[in-house]
Amino acid sequence: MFTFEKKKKDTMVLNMGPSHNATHGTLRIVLELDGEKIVNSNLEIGYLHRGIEKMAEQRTYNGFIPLTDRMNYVSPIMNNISYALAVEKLLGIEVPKRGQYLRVIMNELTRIADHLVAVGTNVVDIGALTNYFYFFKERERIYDLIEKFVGARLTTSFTRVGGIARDVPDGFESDVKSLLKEIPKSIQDVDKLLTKNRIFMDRTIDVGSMTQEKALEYGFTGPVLRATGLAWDLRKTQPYSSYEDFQFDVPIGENGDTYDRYLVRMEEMRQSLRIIQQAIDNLPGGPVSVDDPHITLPPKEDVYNTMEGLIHHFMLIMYGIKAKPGYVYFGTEVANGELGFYIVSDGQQYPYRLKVRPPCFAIFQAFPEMIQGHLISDAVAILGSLNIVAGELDR
Amino acid sequence: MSELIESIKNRFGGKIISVQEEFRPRSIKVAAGDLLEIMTVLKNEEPFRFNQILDIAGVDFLNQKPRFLVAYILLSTIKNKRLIVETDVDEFESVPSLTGVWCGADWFERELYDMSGIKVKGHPNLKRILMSEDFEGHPLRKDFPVRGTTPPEQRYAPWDKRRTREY
Repeated sequence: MFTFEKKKKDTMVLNMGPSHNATHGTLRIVLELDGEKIVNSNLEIGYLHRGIEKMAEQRTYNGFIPLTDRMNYVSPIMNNISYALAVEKLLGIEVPKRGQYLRVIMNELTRIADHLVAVGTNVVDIGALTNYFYFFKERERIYDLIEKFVGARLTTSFTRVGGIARDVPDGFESDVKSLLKEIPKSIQDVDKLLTKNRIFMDRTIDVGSMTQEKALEYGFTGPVLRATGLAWDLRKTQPYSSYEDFQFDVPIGENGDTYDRYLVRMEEMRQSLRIIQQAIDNLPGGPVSVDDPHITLPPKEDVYNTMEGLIHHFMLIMYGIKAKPGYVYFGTEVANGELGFYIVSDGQQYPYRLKVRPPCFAIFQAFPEMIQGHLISDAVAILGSLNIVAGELDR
Repeated sequence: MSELIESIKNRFGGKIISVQEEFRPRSIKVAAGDLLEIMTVLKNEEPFRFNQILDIAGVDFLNQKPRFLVAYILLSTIKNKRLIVETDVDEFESVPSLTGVWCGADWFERELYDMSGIKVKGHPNLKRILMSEDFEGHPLRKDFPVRGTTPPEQRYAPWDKRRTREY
């Protein structure tokens, strides 16, 4: 049973969650309060644990992709891409340029959508509701585009091992270009409303700050680490999926507090727009998946009309992709930080062991230290700024 | 042989049991007893400076001896390098806790214990993290059933700390 020991006498214990308006997911935070000040706190997670890693051991490599949607449900496409890249690394294959560029475009669109949610809901918790509507309007536009392309809004299952499910529909490029014109306006509006806003600054500056040393030791990655002043972005430092082709900057903060995290996220959205612009301008032609019948499904005409096509289709559906014995760890930069997959293969069509490295998990364990000595309302602001997604935290 | 592996071999000599360079990131295998010492050096000393521990994964090889492999996935943001440190442990053995080296290892070790049932020696708060406290078994062991039988209906009375089962 979950136990909580009080540190001081004459304090009150307050239970936040597992179902609470300000936690954005099922997490439980037990706070010990002296007046409104937090003296001690404890966390309990695992309410959304579905045993994804155990399920992965019974599924083919492609069969696990739908489960990655359910990890970080705010940006499912990034999980799809991250997992596909890890398996491709294990198999030693590389996706054609067009597939890589389309992945980059979708990846960055989802990063914007994720940051829109993170910033939007964070400021709602602080009390600024208008920005939420400005941002969610744009998020809706991005989801419309994703729905047009993939067929689903949240449960995307966008990638396949060795490429993506299908090529883009007609009019995709003009849709993306019109989005690129619309999103900056909303970011500009929210920027004007919040960045120099006295109340917002008072609520966020020096709230939940973290030193760079401590952040690294805790295993922080992503915007929360960059807010402490370290320009560590896997897209720049260890490029994957053609990220080395694009020009973009890595924004950093200074103090690692809630305000800096907000600024980093806002700037990252603008940089993502820059990447999308470059990718859509230079979108190469050609196939989107690798041309290997042991990995990619053949086109439908071949399945119906040729013997080889039918055999390849049958073998892939019935037996799946086989990886040679070995292991791989591959981490990519998703909206929250580094999402990594550690896959051990024993030569079968199923992974022998699959371990997910969720970025939230490392970040959330530092939460009690961050809220120590702050007020309850600050704890809510800090929790929002960390962008904890329970589906990814518990898997 | 890569530069990193060479410098590790020079620094630790016979303590490195084996080296794997075929897969990425490269990995080294050490004995569980040497783990704490090696990790401390890997974190603090040049030219390693692995300042982040990203994950700890326990892999269960059911019919092998020793049964488990524990993989520590490290990252150096200073040198831009990755490394996996592996160690073998048997069912009733334990690995030393690395919370003194990286404070972030705390939850990862709890997850390792919860999921694979590998004890972590010297951990300040070794409790289950994802499963509930009264859960029996460790789900990511290979002998844990994937499809459970229908569980007996349970009632829990917290006031008298008693559990009643109806079959």
